[in-house]
Amino acid sequence: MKVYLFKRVVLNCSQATLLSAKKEEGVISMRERMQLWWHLLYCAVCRRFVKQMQILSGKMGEMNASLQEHPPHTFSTEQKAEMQKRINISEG
Amino acid sequence: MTDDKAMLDPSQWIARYGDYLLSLAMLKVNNRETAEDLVQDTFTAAIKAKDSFRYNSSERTWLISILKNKIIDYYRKKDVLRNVSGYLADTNDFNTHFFDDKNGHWLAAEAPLAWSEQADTMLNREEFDRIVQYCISKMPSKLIPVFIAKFIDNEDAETICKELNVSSSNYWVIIHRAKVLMRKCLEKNWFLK
Repeated sequence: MKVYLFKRVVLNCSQATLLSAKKEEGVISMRERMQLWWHLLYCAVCRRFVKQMQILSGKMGEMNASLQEHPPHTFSTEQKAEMQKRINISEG
Repeated sequence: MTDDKAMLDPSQWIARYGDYLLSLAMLKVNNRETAEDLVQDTFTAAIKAKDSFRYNSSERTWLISILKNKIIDYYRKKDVLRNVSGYLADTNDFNTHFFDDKNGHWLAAEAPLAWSEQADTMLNREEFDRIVQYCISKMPSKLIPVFIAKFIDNEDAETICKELNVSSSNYWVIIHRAKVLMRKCLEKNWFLK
């Protein structure tokens, strides 16, 4: 019985990494927060996962601005001229 | 009235936003021809909707939101957004590729490895963007819209669930899977190099 209860309260890594996403967005319940905290206390691999995901989330969040500064895909000069011409015409 | 319109400058649209919107569309649909069409449709729609532009919005944000709607329409047409629950249920063995089936702990071969100390400061921006784009293209297509809305468009969970019509519990499953896949892919292609 004791073991059964313990298993229900203690998270495995799959559940913990899912809860870490909820925590990042601030929609985690108090109970889940405690469960996650307890798991991360003894699981170095999940601690690493959480830390790496923070780095990646930050970098990906900046990507939008970076795409504008250095667009990896570009229209050809001819395409651009054609598109602009169409805009000018429909604008009258 | 004329003041409102003065905030829009269609004569500069292509030069200012053409390549940017194309790159954004490429990220989301990963097909050059489709992306080009979506961007052209965006400008056409923008010209038609010029009067709905509000001066408290920026030209850039406004164009992005038009493109976003075009892309959601495209996802709908391509059934990317259909039957997400069924897809997630059919593929619920996903976890077994990364976590031990019996106890839910990381499989030894899949556990996150330590990245070099300078990994995040040494990142070359354009190279990083390129690899993220590659890793997105390798993701199951049903995970992509939600992943991009969250991580690239920086939208919150509630907005994403409403716009893409996914339930809250499916949202978390998608985010979890996508994160696990993205982390692994970046680790393989970048952080251990």
